[in-house]
Amino acid sequence: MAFSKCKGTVLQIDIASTMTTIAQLIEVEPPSMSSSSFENLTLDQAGVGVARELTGYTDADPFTAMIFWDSALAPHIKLSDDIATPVKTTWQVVFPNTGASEIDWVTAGLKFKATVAALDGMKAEIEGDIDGVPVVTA
Amino acid sequence: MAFQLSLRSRVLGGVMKARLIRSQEITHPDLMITRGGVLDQDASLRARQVQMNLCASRRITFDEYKKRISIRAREGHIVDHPSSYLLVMMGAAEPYDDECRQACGMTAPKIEAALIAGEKLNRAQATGQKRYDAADGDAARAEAKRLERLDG
Repeated sequence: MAFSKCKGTVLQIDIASTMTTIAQLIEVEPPSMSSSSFENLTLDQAGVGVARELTGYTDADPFTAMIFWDSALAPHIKLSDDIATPVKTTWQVVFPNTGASEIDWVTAGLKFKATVAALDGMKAEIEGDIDGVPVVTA
Repeated sequence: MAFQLSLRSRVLGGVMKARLIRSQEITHPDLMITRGGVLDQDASLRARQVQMNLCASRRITFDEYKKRISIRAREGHIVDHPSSYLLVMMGAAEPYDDECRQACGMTAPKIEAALIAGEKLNRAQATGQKRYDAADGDAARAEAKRLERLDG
């Protein structure tokens, strides 16, 4: 059993076939995953519980990340590139635990939103829709 | 909009080459599918997702998955990719052909500065130090550990 710290976690994006760290990361929420289901409740059901059945699909909600944005930094430029020229992109989060666990996923569709505020540094929010199933490696 | 269009033209500008200045984890050559000598990014991604699905359904182990999707490219490896100029801009590689040199739009001193900044950033990330100027011993140990992991 171990309690892992978050400090040292890196978010990486595939740039020119090289997994590259996105610098100045503040926080990241890897894609949440769920096995998809539907309610199969019927009026002639005997029991009182709401019945559900699996659809057989696994779904993943978008991932989000927040960075201090530097428009001249190459990995940050790559984000603009992938929006201006829409392409699917490979991402991974590498955790700072002993085994360097990872979550890998592919995005199809990316959002980028910069925020400029007087009493804060220039930040940008990234959000990506997930294509397929993310992989968690131990 | 002009900014985005300039990036778009650079990305679609064709294949260019950059030379890695440090060992790096890169996509496994088996997953780099080309068509007519040009990288087919969609097909390459689909090939990667096949491996992701195999791992997600536990039909292959994590180690096997990592071995199938990436390899360690040593310093001097030539990256042939439409976005390889970005590796130069982030100080991970140097231009290997004129296309790459032109796309990154950097003078020799700027490329040198990017290499130094890239090295400092790697040290900070590898050692988890707050400061970018991590001690040489810490950086060397972290780099050795990273290379050991890449070698599997």
